[in-house]
Amino acid sequence: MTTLTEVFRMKRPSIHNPFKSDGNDDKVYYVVHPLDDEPEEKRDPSTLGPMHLSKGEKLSLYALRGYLVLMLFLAGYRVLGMAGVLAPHLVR
Amino acid sequence: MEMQETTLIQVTQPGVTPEAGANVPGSGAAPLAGPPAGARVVRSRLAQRLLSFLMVFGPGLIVMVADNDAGAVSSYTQAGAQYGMRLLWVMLVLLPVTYFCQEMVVRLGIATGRGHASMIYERFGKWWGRFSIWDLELVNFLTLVTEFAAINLALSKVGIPGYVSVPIAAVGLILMVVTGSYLRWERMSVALCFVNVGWIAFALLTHPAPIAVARNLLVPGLPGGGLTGSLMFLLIAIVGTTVAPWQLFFQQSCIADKRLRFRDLNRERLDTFIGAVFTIVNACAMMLIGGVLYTHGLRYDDPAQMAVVLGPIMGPIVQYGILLLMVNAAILGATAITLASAWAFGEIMGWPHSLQKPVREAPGFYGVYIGGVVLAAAIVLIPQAPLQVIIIGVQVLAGLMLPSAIIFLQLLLNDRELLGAFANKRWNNWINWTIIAVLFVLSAVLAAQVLLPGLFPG
Repeated sequence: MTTLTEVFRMKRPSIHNPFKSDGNDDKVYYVVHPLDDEPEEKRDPSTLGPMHLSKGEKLSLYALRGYLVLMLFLAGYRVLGMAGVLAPHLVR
Repeated sequence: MEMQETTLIQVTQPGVTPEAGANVPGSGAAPLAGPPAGARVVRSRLAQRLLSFLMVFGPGLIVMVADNDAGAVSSYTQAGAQYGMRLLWVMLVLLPVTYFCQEMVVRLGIATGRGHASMIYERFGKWWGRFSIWDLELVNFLTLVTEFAAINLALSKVGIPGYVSVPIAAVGLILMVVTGSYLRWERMSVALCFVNVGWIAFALLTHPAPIAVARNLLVPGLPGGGLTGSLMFLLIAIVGTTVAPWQLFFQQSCIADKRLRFRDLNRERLDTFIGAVFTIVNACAMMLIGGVLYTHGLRYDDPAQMAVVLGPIMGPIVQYGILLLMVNAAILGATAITLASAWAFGEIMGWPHSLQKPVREAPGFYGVYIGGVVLAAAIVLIPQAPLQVIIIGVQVLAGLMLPSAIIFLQLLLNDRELLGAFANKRWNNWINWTIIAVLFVLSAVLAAQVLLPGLFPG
């Protein structure tokens, strides 16, 4: 019959310093900083040209242009109003 | 860490496959030549993983914490001063939003090794490329002016006049980058990021009730009075300051300059997540500090004055500490924003654009940075400079730019022809398009509110 002491001894984890050797003193690991490493071959967009866009994507970009034009118009309207260029009744 | 003379039995390095049996006696395999150039040696897998992470750590933390700049301090403290803890939940909602946006940038930067501006130029053509770069340059420059204005404001409260503090800050910002070493700049910036722990310390000094903080953080709700125009404005300002367009350009260029590798992807994701959590916690801390004024029914005009008002309540250490933290936030924001501009301009113009290069080898890149800093500082020192118009201008332009910046990011991340396995998965797209739709509406409302103040009641 297994005694309580034997159970405790079996289940107790071994004390291990994770920063010390993994048990094989001849094993080492190298860590290279990205700036010291050899350059990698990255994905290069320069050979692909403009992106192929779906109809939905083209539509979203046209909508974006419309939004930007409208907002720039509003910005100009506000700046002119703040500068006093527009008549007071046109600016609240 | 010292290189140790040791007999190699097995060399393990990510990306390098040792020849099978190398250095094993009797194997017949050619012996390994030795450690790769610049390699550091560690003796455990855990130490290897930790050191690898620390070597990558930086861009994610800096981009997130630098976003808590002078404008953010103003927005978050104002939220606390006006509504107490009632808007804490907004920050929890913004945590995944800001992380998801920056995670896409991480993938794009590591996959291509290029900056965001050049990607837009290459894949969407000259019109969109030029619009993006000029919009970015304008918004960033105006934001830089507000950073110097904040430095002037904060240090004037401790008796240092603007004609002293602003030039010193400008010189400091220039010296940070002209060392010809990316790592030196990064370490200085990371140190400035950790100074922000001061916000958390001061927030704890306000003795917030933990249960109330948790409830307001986890349970969305509106303050008494409902959704008024001023609340909407503040909410949008909070969203706009937490998810800023310059962050997309900055982090991608930073990753490209640091030459992060494909195998660094998960480490950089973790770096970005840590940065996001840290910055959101800081934002909540700023709200709690602002909440002290809410509790006491006090008002203020700007964060510097807020610090002075808090002095009699919380003591001079908090008063002067907040002022110095404001300066720290402005310095960090200024360097990140100006670098984003310099990198983007260098990419588009085809100039050398790396912090690893000395000034003489990248004159255009450093010229944009130094010129921007000097000009912004000069504007702040002009008597009667229209700083309020500039602050409003920044909000409007940011509102204009944010949707377009994120739409391009989303389209680029679906470019499977270019990115292959790095492209978005379907669940990425569902989340991102939802974020884009909400940000689009909020940005439009903000821009419309500023441009047409009478449009919204209250």
